Amino acid sequence: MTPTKHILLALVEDKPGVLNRMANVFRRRGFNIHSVNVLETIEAEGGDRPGLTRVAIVVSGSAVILGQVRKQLERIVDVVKVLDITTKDVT
Amino acid sequence: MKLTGAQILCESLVKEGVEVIFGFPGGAVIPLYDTLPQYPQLRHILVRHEQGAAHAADGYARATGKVGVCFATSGPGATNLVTGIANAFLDSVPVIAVTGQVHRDFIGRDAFQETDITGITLPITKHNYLVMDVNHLATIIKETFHLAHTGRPGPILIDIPRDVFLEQAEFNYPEKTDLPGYKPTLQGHPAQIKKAAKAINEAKRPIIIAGRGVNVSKAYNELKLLAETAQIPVATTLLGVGCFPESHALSYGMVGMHGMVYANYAIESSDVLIALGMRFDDRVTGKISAFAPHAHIVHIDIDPAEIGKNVRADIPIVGDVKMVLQALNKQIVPVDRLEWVNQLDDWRREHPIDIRDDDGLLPQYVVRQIYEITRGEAIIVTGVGQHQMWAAQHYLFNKPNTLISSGGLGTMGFGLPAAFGAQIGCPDTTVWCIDGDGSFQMTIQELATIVQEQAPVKIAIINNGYLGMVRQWQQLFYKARYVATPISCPDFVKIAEGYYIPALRVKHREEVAPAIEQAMAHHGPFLIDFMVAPEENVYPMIPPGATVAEIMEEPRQPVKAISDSKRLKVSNI
Ligand SMILES: Cc1ncc(C[n+]2csc(CCOP(=O)(O)OP(=O)(O)O)c2C)c(N)n1
Ligand SMILES: [Mg+2]
Repeated sequence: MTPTKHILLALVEDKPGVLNRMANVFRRRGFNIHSVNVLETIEAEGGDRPGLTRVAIVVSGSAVILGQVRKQLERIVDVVKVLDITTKDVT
Repeated sequence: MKLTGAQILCESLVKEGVEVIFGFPGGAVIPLYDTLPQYPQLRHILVRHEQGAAHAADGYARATGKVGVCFATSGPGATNLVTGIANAFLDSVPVIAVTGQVHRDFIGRDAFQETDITGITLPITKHNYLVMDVNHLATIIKETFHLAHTGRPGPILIDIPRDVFLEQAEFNYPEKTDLPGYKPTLQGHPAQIKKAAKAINEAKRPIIIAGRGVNVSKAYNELKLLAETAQIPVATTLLGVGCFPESHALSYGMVGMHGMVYANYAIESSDVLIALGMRFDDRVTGKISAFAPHAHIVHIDIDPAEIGKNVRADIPIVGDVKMVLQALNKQIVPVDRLEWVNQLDDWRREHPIDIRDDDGLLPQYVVRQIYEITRGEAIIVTGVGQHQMWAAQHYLFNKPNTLISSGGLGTMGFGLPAAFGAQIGCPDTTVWCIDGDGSFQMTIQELATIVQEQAPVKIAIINNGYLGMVRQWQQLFYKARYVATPISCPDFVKIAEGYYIPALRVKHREEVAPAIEQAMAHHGPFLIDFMVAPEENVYPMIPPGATVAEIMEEPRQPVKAISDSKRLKVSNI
């Protein structure tokens, strides 16, 4: 199966190690990471809870297992949500 | 009031109802151990190797349904836990591991006994924490317990630097957790449940495969109701064994590589397969593309990432098995499925899992005798290998959580420490550790722990002089080249005696029952070394990556008697 490019947008808690945890999922499922963009943190209101950060990741790998990878990313406790925002004209 | 980090940890453990900790001290955790005497409610059990602590916590958790807790020091203490943590991860067992870490100032500088244990255990924990601020400790512990036993359970590791144990903070144990990324779905989607009910009601040849998820969610009654109402045969995975009484007329035993022929035939022929809290491990499915070729698959599991991972799910339902079944059962129409059930019973008659008459000492016979004498009331804990499969096949498990076995990781050495943990958790239940001569030697040192804690674990060593399961593969698939599988053993009876454990050696069939009875009559731990037929194989067997059509059954030929000359002796090497 030829790898295809995908863009994922993840909403994650701003905690140490969360990128590491995500990278681990890509590594295990044989995905190549092309770029990672960490967007500005949305500060949590009050208390000392960490804020939320959006991470945009461009990866290439099997389209068939991408859905699986998304769910495995969402299984990470610090990851709140993962969207597949790939559109057709992304190559 | 201000407490030290060590006190905060202990207070929190008490609040979470922890009674037992399996651990081993060292430099980084001395402040923690120094605090333990202030908390006599917390019973600390000293193991002989940290792997034993993790397995004991695992066995304790499986036997009791509570969270198992273990402690280790930094560096080698923490790395020794790794196998046990991975084992708990693959079998979804709630284990909390607390490790000491070097002083915060030294982290990342290769300090003495520093290892990046959160990095190491990242892929084998449900979640882990490095506590860099004592003010976060109580919240982290609260989260840890919540994560360990809710949703799909799993091990959590908390790494605490030495100075954090000593630093003080105000102690407020939080009432609830705030984890925006962790919200397990419990109730199944009503539309999916409706679809599943329709498929089941219309099915001609349905089958249930029940896995550990049934035990985790305690869905025993719901499973029984579904099976009985709709007359659906029930098979289980290795970790599901006992979640449905094996003496029930609708029980068809274990599936998979060494599962029952009739259970595997039933899956092969089924038109609707209801998978409950199981994850289609390759030991269950064999060749994936040929698995349940005619079945509509209803997959009910709490972990969304399991859906469609190994096998396509036609009707996936994410949720707690018990809650989903409660909703599903309301829509199930009672039926008679005589033809289908009779078909399975015919297969069962044609391919029984019986023990052949043999003058030699057959391992299957030993297991069956333990079953008879314990009247099926014992908790059976195993190592990994042939003996594990014989234990699963020949003991009849009628109660949930009475077979405790390393499924996903297949960890040799799990047996003895896990049996010990189960015994600590269930002091009034008989616990038998059915172990292999190879597996037993991996964690044999925990005999001392058993004696120190006076845990009356009964140990049956299925001594075949081989790493038998590997030998079996060599015999069947590698032209019987037995490379590195003959294994010599110490005199286990003498070893046991060295640990002050009474022991017997059994070589003949007629000695089996009296020996087991003697072990049962003895109040403390007891060991029996069963010198079984060395080259006995586990059947039935579906070769790895093969299909049901390729099931190998026991050749009906007389088998060689035990030959002592075949055994590798320490004295002649
Ligand atoms: C820690 C570990 N190392 C290696 C293996 C591979 N392995 C699986 S079964 C087996 C043989 C086990 O021998 P024994 O405990 O004597 O059990 P038997 O099969 O003879 O009943 C081995 C080596 C394993 N499962 N775990
Ligand atoms: Mg052996």
